[in-house]
Amino acid sequence: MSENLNAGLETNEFTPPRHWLGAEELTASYWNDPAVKEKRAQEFHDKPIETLELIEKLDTKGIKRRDFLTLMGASMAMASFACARRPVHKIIPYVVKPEEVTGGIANYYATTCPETGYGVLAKVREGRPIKLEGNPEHGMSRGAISARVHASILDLYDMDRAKEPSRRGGKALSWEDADGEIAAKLKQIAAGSGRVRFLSNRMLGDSTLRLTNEFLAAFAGGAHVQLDDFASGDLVEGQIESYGNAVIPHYHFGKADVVLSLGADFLGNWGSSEEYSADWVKGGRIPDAKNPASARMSKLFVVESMMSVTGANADVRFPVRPDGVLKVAAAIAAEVARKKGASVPAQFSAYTLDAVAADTGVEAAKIKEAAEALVAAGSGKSIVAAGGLSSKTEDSIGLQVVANYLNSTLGNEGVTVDGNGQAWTKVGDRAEKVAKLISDMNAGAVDALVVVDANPVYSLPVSLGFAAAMSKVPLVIAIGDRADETGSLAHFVLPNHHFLENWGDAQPRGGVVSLQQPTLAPIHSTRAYQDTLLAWAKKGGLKVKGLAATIAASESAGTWHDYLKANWKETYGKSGNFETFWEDSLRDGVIKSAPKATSARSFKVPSLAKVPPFKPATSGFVLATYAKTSMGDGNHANNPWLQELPDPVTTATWDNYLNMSPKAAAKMNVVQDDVVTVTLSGTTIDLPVNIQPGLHENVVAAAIGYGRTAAGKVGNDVGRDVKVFVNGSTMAFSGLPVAVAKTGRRYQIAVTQWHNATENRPVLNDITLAEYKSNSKASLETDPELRLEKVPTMWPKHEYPGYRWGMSIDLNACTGCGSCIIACQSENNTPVVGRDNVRRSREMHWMRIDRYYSGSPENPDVVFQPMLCQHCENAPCETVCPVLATVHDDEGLNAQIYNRCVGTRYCQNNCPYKVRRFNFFDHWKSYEGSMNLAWNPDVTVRTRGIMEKCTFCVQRIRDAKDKAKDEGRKLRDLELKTACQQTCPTDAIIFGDINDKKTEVSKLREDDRAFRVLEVLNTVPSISYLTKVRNKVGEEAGEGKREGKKEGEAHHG
Amino acid sequence: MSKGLSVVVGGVALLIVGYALATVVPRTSNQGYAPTQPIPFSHKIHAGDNKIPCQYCHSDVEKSRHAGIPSTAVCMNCHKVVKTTSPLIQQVRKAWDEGRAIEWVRIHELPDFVYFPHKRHLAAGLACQTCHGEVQTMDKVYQFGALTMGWCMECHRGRSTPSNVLAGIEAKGSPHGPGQAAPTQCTTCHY
Repeated sequence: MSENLNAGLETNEFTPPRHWLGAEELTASYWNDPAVKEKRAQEFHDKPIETLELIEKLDTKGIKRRDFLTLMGASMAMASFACARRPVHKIIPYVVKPEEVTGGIANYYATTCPETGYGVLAKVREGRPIKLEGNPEHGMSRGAISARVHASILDLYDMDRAKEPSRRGGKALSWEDADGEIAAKLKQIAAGSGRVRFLSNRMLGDSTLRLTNEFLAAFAGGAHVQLDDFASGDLVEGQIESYGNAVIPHYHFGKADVVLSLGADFLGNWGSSEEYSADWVKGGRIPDAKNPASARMSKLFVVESMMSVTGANADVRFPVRPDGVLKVAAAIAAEVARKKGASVPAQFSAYTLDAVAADTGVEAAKIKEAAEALVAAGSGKSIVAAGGLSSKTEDSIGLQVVANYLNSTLGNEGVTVDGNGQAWTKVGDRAEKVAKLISDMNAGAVDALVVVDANPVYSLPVSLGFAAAMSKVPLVIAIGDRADETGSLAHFVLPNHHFLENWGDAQPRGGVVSLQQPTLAPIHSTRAYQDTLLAWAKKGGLKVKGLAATIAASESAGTWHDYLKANWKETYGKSGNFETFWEDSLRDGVIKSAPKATSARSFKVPSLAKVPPFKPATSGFVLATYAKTSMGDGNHANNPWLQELPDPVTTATWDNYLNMSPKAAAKMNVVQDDVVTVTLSGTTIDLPVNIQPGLHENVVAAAIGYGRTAAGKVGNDVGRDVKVFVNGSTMAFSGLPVAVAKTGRRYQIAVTQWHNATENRPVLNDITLAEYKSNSKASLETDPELRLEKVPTMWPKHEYPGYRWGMSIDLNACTGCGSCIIACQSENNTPVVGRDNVRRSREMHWMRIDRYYSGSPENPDVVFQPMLCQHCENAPCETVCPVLATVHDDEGLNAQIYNRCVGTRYCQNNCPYKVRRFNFFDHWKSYEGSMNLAWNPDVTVRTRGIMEKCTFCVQRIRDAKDKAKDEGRKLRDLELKTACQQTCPTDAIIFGDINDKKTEVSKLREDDRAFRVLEVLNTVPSISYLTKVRNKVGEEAGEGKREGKKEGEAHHG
Repeated sequence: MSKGLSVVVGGVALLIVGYALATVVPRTSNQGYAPTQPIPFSHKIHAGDNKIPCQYCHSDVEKSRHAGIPSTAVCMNCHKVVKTTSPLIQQVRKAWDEGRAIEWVRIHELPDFVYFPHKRHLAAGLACQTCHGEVQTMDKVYQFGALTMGWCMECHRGRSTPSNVLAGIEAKGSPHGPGQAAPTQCTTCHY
């Protein structure tokens, strides 16, 4: 590898690297290219790597050089005045200090994210929430939340939120006037035909749902339509077909020995993915350290068209066209039926192994292997999960039925697949109901439309014509957080509270009851949607029903808060003292109860009719759409943290793009960043190309959630909306035959995968389960004599009298989801730098997740490696700092002292892990107005010209030590968690005292799989990694076997 | 030009340069800073003459990094009945009635990159006066300590540490090395 690489270049024998970042690294010509050599030698680029014509207009994100000079000039002038005299600062105390507030000490409030149903703890400092963490008591989050939920704290402080009610065109009006006008109209409608429609996303709260229904009862023709996200809509449809109930099953991934994912990105973007990740990893992905010889691991097969986070974690992955997912699934189903001795349903008869293999390009033997593994796992020991946008063709219900058939045949139904007890009952309405709403609107049969926290004009495919239908409704009211695409076409925009400002509850799935409470007073003149309903009911004298009528009539207790309490009293608090129960629930955030029992539902055989006849694949490109873990459906497009979160698989930020396989790109003579035109029956969009290994040759894939036009300053005009291609009648998001043509223009996607390249030194280990069983230390590539403290050092050894902090990261547990990156960003005030700075390799994330491929570009294996400051014992950065700004402390931390740093960047140059980040600009200035409330006051906000990096969350260490000191004890193991560790759903990151040999982290450092990155450099990192073990047959584990044992050392010498 | 004259000229020039430097180069300490407060609150009357404990008003000091400035409600605890006719108290009363916070001028201020916990210092047995001076004798409070890093380090290294505090630490066996009163790691205060 690297050694061989250098040697190879001299002798013209080229050995491709075992782990690579992009397919081009597998060719000798790439490494011989002097431009590449120069590019790879630089950590930063003064200008974008290539001079590029941008798609349309110049990039305006981030600070331009000229602005920078102006800023510089201004601050120089200011600096020369400012120092001479001390600025006068004010201290403004409370008038009446709230009892629970102590300046400098955070309060935590348990609340709920109503969009996902996840329980969160909001960390509140002096009345402002600054960070969200998962509620450990909550059945789904168990301490973890996704990157998106993490980042929602920034939505709270978003400057582009609607700040007061307004009419179309943006003219502001008071709540009083808005209520008066709207209530009068509603009263009129109620007296007439009463055709009021509410349109919202899926509502997860019983109380909000009840209030909505009771309000709608005042209208004879009232109805509520809930939009499902498109992926789970199919899932529900399939459940109705096969089992007759509209649910999203709860999957027990922890109990499955074999998982077959048919497009379902359950580790990234499909369903309750943090919960699934935790279950799946803890249930069977960590090989037994005590008895390696008999170690067992669960096995994951993934059939998909775009490489997802789940696909990247697969043991065996089948890259197919979107329609190929169903074909492979049907072939597996037929095989399974045969092996189980059941009669093969007639619908599967055309999906023979050979036909499917020839059509999809998946080897028949592999299909058989998957079927065999499923059967061999035994009854109720596997899961088949299907769905997701990238497999959502016009036959997506058929795919669901095949998955259901498999689960029932394999005995999973009622065991690992729970369709009644703990299933998600809060599902959206079927597509027909949405279509009916649109046709009603077009026919003038809707008197008023109230859109609640939804953005159908953007989120529904354009071809459904929602915007045009909306223009025919005489009264459209948008209740939401901003005047978005829908709001700007509505007659009224009524700003809703952010969820951290509001009350509520969520009962997302069976057995999970979660309470939502406000964590701060509303920042703007917003009002809860629920209070708006009550206000209309009161003002318009509407004949609302039930509890809503009681509350609306009450003078003293007529708010949404009162309604929620009353509903909880009726539902949960019948016995005992309700106030005590309520206080307890507020404290815990959840009602704890035993998990609900489940039973197997019987599979309705006629549903197999949904399986389509075998349709041979067409030639030419087909489009697959998918949702990114960061951006999702694009609702949070104005969130800069999410825009700058690198996609786990493509590592791209800030844009969407057309993913294309290396083979297809070579055939079309297209390279990375070339702009192509994608055409489908007259509709075209231009997208830059991202070369993505692991795609079927005929697949091009692009993410939805981009191309917003009314999201706000950050999110507008980022990327292109690919939903323009979706046909409203079939609702097929994938499998669309598109034409792709070169334009000759170029547009640089802000991809981070080439940044911080380690000069091809071996930085990670991966082995197969068989290798692990035969030699559990198989991963240790380096010479044991070169390891750790065995090498003499010229520096005096550090002494650690008290604690010594260390970390262990399990590459088997890390799924690459990226939640830790946002957690770190939120905790440590890491700025956002903008697209152009990312292109220059100036992103500031203290923690990144490196993604490496191995094997063939057609179907590579993937390893994710979280990379952060390694807090080396012999830190190369410390010895080169001329001003001692980076020093070792007596607890093993490699400290970065901002006030000493003068910005020489020597340390960065000398860091072999490339984890140091330099502030080229005053990035914090991009936070405007209320966004400044999101800063963590326990961490210095860094200014221009200084270096920063991971501190092991030293502020959390101090905080925890402070508490322990108060109690006169030492810190307990795992009592102290870093931000990344805290949010990791799979507990891949463990942090603790390595001076104490009994701690979890000390044990993991002694694990047979433990290795330190670049040990040969004798930096002695405080972070150890655990080798990735794949549950696949030996010969598949990459092409370049590890023949070179001492590569790094030779490379360095 | 005589030798004596050039010495005088040179000396004057040096003085001018020195004075210029002294005024232009920023001072790192604000020792002695005594701004005028919006209401001339006297610590001497409260903490000195009337012997009100510091922590009656600065109640967070044992719990938090910050000692805290009392809310107006704390003033009103007493001044609802005490000295209600005084014109100064009426200023407080007015702010209280209007629900308006009193904007005090900050005297002790560390740079944003310094994290100083009051709580730990009190737990070590330090008196408020060690750093803040004899506040109970001050009509107008001024910055007593230098609040520079060197000034902090003197105490942490055990050189200017009050003897009772040092004795307490040594009795427990200093974890920071012999003679050391407190940690002197960079990360003790900077992060």
